[in-house]
Amino acid sequence: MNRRKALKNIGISFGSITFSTSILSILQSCQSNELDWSPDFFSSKQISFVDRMFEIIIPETDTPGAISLKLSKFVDAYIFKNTPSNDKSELNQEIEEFINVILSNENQKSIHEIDDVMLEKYLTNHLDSNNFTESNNKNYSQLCGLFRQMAVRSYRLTEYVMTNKLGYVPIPGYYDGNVDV
Amino acid sequence: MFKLEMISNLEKMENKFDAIVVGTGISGGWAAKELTEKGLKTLVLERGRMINHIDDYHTANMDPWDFKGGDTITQEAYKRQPKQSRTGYVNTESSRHFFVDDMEHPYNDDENKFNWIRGYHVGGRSLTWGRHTYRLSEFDFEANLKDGIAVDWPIRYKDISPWYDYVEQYIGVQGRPEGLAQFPDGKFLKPFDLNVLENHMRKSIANNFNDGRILSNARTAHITEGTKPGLGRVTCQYRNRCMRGCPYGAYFSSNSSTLPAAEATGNMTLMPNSIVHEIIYDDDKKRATGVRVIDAENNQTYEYYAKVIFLCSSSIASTSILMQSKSNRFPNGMGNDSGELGHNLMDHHFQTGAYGTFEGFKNKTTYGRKPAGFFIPRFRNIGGITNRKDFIRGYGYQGGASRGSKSIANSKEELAAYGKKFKDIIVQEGEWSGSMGAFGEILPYHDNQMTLDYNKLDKWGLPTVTFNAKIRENEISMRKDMKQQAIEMLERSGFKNVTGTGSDNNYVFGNGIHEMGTARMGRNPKTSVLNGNNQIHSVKNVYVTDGACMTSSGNQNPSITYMALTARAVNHAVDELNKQNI
Repeated sequence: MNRRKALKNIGISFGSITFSTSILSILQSCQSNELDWSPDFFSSKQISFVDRMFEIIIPETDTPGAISLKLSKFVDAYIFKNTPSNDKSELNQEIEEFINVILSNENQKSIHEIDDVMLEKYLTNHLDSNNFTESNNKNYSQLCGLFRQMAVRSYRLTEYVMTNKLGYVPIPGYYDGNVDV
Repeated sequence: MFKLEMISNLEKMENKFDAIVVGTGISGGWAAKELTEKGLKTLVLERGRMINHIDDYHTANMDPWDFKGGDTITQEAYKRQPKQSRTGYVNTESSRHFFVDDMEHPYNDDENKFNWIRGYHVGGRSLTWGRHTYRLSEFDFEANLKDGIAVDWPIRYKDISPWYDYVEQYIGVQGRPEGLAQFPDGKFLKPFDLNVLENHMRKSIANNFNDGRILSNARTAHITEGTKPGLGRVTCQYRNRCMRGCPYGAYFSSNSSTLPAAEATGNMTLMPNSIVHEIIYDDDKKRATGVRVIDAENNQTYEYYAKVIFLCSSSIASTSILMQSKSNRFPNGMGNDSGELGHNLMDHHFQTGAYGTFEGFKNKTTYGRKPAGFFIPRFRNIGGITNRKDFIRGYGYQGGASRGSKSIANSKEELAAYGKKFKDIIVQEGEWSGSMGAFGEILPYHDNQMTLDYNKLDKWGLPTVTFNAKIRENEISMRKDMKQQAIEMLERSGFKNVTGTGSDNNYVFGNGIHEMGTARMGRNPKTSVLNGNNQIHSVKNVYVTDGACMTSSGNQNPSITYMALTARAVNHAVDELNKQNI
């Protein structure tokens, strides 16, 4: 019950933020295993996993996706400074558990040996479905839903998306309450 | 950059002045301006640190993505500011430096929770206030007398009306005249526009209710045309970052407006980091002679003397100073012959209303981020069919309508659950939605009070404040109506999924950040602390013009009333000084 509550708290907390993400690079388009920043909450292994999950949810198209926009960096900073330690601990354990379940099923030692198609299958099985259970009789819909929520929230708060997709202007100068879409 | 000058060499400084002002917030800034402009050498004492307009607004130009991990109330902030955090918004990273560290500035609220939300710095809450400005009306000034409650205000609307004119014209207030007795019109600049949905609501509410209620524009202290006097005060740029301090000086603050005016006269001496803790009383002269000050940084103590003293340090602080000013003549605190000092503590109760979604205007959106939405003025208990049996007094709503991004709640059914298509959908315009929350009057109850605890001292050896206040039957009945009417107005305007918000019974006193009363004005020295000129009945050269003076709370955001009362009181004080009456 603690686990469910912790994940729920984090989801609610993410749902309530309105603005902001960390300084981003929109030039980086290649997926690299090398991190040019140091996570405060996630481990390096978890960051790779989270990056790839986020990228499945918000992929690179003709516009930047989750990895280019460094959404995991924002989420890492967010969780580090806003989440109470108990909840942090629960989230950490849930992610580790999910990674281990996948590795065990696929008989692999490292997430890098699992391709994106396979990873996507796990996401699809659990997202929006309470019924699917792994060999440990657990369902990870809450965690996968949280991944999606984190990805969407942080995506909408990047400078790129705010200025190019959401019409955000730092200094509007005037207000118009009747604009044709 | 023109800066407010600080006194640095205390030993050489004079300690005799014509006037002393305690506090530099909404009312203190006005006292400083009016006194110095009338030629009085004025010492202005502020317990907090210096904040220079623009230079010290460190977060004012930060874009949303400049806050690493978001602009949030962090775990660190919860630890240092547990009580400020209760508001859920004041101490996010963009503004937490303008709110007190609760560990450094403790108070006691064990019996009934109290949210005492404030910041200690030059400018006080004039830097962070909500900027809504609504005049009290004749209904409000007559209310206690008509209801047989508490004591009668010693003034009426006609006494303060020219002073509302005076301060509004100086600071700049945007608003829309409506010609309603309970919602007196002011000297307005052109209003922020209502958007398409807000305009639709205005029409719906006018057409669908028979009690004369209307939806109007919120009235706020923003400049919408031209300029106003101060350190370069120009029009609002619609960034909606007011609480961080505005580099355009577009909303009223002491820092951008009244303090620079005072400085420009050459008659002001401004001293931050100076905690006034006592007013000195001379029983032979039957007047106050000065104040005792503790330096906030090094704990040294000083005395300063003046012919007239203006207490403008905010309701609770001003009353604390009076309580701490004990003498043989005033064993229970200065001016406390009536025993009312500390009592009749009020606030506005809020956090109840409704929200809903709106399916229309799919081809419309907005540009810019205006810092205020609509206001629905009081429509209860103003005569005729508006009079209720279940509660007295009234309330008004603040609210707004807007359009956000598409919700991902139903993504599996309506949209792709993730991926390329999902990515496009999540940045599309979502539905319009609207919400409103009411601010309601709290009656003056003798038992709602503050006291000082001399067993729990702060780091300067001063007693801490203990609060004991709660809402009672009249407020609870009113809250039921506040929620129900919000639901009705949204539903009759065509909103769907309309949901009432907030609790009828539970309201944490102080959360409205309009704490007032505790040194009320009245006609009779036996039942009040101040007279109709804001003088202490028994110490006529001490004026209290911040929220402490309020005899009833109305439902109106009170800051403009404090400004008007202050300007009026200074005018009286200078007149009295010239006549040698004080």
